[in-house]
Amino acid sequence: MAQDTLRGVVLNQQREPLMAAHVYWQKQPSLGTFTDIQGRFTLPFSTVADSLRISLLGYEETGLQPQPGAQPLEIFLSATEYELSALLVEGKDPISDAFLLTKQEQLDIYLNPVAAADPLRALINLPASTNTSESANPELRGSSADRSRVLVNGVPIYRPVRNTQINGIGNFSLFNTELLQHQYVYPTNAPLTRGNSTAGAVAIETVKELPQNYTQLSLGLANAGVLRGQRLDEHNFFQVYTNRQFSGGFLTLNQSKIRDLESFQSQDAGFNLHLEPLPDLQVDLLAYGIDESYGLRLNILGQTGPLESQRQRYFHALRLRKSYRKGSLSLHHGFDGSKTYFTFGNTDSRQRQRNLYTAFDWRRELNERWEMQTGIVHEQQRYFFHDSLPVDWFRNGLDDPAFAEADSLRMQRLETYRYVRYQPHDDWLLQAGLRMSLLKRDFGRYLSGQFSARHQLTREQALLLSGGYYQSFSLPTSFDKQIRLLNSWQLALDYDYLSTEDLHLHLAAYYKRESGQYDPLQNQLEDHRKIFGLEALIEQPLTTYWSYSLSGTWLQQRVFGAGQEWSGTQDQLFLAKALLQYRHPDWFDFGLNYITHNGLWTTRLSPAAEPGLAPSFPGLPNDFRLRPYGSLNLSLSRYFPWGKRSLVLFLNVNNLLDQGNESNLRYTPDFHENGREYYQRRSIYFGLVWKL
Amino acid sequence: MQHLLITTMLCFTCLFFSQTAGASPASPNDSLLNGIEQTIDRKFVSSLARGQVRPLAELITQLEQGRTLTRQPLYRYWQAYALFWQAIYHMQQEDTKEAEKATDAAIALLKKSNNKTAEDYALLGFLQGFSIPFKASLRAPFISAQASKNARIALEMQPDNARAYYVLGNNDYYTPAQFGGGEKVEEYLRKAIELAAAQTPNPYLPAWGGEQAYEMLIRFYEREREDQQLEQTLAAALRAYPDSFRLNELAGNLN
Repeated sequence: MAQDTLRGVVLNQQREPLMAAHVYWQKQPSLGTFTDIQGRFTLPFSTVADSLRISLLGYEETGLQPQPGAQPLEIFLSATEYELSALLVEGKDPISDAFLLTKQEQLDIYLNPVAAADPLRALINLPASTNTSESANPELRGSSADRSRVLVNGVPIYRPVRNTQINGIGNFSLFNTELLQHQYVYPTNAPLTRGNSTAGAVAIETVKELPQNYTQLSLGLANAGVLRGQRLDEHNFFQVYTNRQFSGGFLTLNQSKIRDLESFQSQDAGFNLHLEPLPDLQVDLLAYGIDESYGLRLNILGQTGPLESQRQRYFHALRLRKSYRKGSLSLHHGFDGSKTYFTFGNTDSRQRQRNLYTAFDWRRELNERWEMQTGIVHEQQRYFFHDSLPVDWFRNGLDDPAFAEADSLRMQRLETYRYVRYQPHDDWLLQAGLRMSLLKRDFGRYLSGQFSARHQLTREQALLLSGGYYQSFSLPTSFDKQIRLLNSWQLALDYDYLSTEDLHLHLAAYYKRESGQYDPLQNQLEDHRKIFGLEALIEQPLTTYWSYSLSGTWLQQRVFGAGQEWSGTQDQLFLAKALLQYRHPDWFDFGLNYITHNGLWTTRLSPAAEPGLAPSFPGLPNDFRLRPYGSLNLSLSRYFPWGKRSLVLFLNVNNLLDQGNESNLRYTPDFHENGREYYQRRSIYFGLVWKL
Repeated sequence: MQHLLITTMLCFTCLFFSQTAGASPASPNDSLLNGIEQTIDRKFVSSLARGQVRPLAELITQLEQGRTLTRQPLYRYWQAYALFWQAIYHMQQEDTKEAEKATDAAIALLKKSNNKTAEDYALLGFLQGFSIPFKASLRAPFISAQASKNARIALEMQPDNARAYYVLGNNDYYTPAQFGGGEKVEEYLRKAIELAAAQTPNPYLPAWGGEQAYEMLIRFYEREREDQQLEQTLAAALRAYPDSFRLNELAGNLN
């Protein structure tokens, strides 16, 4: 009987039983069977000389010629070596996704009334965004914008905003949402795979698919642009665009509300290329250039006068990614160069900057539970300054004495990192990373480390604990010509509840200790600052078309130095945000957003004891609280589709209630208080986007 | 789309789950997973007959236990598939909230797997397409794109996966023409039918897709008013699945 029956077990290379494998005789497949949960099978011997075949989805089919008597058989199958294509690799989230607060897609940005179709402005409504300067530059969880990092396809782009200093509409990022697929936001403990950020990070991924060719024309009160998306074949495409920004119409319409802004204009162009020359090779290139200028009338340290600025900037971010079985190898290359000029009073600053970035990443799944990523990063930054600066920092009038200064700075860093992810159970995810400097020069060797544990409490609830120690570099300016090593300790606890009714509740508490910050007004280096924050968010659809979100953030920001302690500009800050949206595909989209806080701290100046001497500081830094801030913003758009074409009409009103939001104190030339500086008053913008 | 899917699935199941149960049991030590597709169908019918979700829910609990105890990846697939049927049951009870909950749970379950097979990707794509009517309409194109992407991943891993082709055909059928939809419905569904017919029945692995592809293709020809193709396809469908209630009913309606 035993000779008539063949018994065996099918196992993988780790000797684990394989269920559902098809075991059959090649010449008599009707005698086939399937392995059970133990990997076992029994089938009658073939009546003719025959070969036994064993096949299973995901494994290489194998064959053998068993002899009666040698039983039970042990048959091993090897996992299929898939040629993992770019599609499969792209389908995976970053290894560090446990640190992720949110992942925004293109549509999330277009439908966000605060964003005005700008990716970085779309962060403003998040409770983790503690942006109080109306800039698009991300300020996350109480840290200054220059500490956070923005990356495009893995390449850092520093100061990723246009017209940074404009107290008006210029606060947009350099990125075009049409080119963006995802945007990952890490408000604290930015993963060490994403760089070494002492605050948060925003990682932008460009689009990987273009379903069809299209041309998009846009025309607004201050902008005209054209974009073309062109498929080369099924997998390859490019997008190219250009915009011209002009101030005439916008300033005329908003003349009574925007008095300080005298003019602005820019011309920019971008190119996004996605190629898959081989199924497992992906090439992404984003190149962008802008030529911009603006003129303002400002009061700085008592001097009122025109400020003019011009900038030319070009950057590109290139990524080559080779996918292979259970992993990928990536090469990142970036170049960022700019020329900036600005003048105010006796200050005349010319700055050139060149950054070169190269990195290799290797990501590999070790098995079902373990995954790792390792990499090496080289970056070189060069700055050239040709300035005329005030001899006395407090005398910046046109006729006040100035001195010429030429200087250059150079920074080079070489870092390597290791990162592991371990999933001991479906509901647990543990991650840890180390990143260290390999160059002693400049800053010595330094080491950063981080960990996180994410626990899925129930189907609806998750908890994330993360912490680490990080180091990055300050970005020099004409008034602070140094590159400093910045440090930060961070600990954060995030809780999320997401019900099937799409009720989303988010709570967070975090603590940070930052050092290396420079205070230009005091001309001193802070010893350190401590930041403690609490966040709460609730968002929910009310009906099919109506939805809302409410969030509150409380921040404590204390600064320590010279044996004293004082408030940070955002100390005791309560920041609240409300959003009400109506989206009806057949009618219109409407969004109303309100942001309010209880006022920022600023440093008061007192008149000098004698004319020509420096003003004094009556108290510690940030000893005066400005009035509470509030801004109600409205967006309205209507979508008209016909055939393969569409037209979108939109209207945005910023600061609808025209609240006078104080940004700083204003002084007379002899440093007597003389009113306030204000953020943007009510402004109206409208336009259309025509897709052909 | 969902209504059509529900009706289709319902009818296929109620009156025709026996025809796919052709494979012989493999081992004397049988398990819950042997013939699981038919077991799920039976439990679904039982739930409908009783007007209680319990038969299906109990099976889902058993699959959950199996998944936890054995780490056998097939439990995850079938648990997700059973959750889909639970969603269909709730739709029949006109409880869309529970239906959405079950669909989301099925999607989350598959997404969590670190070692997805081609079948996992195909089912994930199918479930994402099915979830679209529950979600905000503006999100539909994005979910649909994700569903197609998962089906294409399935095909990269297993080029002869009938269910992946069905998902692609299904998605293309419902994609509006201005977004390039409708151009490959026929190609995808014909491929799904061809591959489903050639598949060796395996009591542990999924067999669905072929019959559904026939039904969708017939509807496509009806929409496009291609009468000759419609007649030929209907005849072929009835030859391949002569006992199918839905195909027979469709034939009756068309005649």
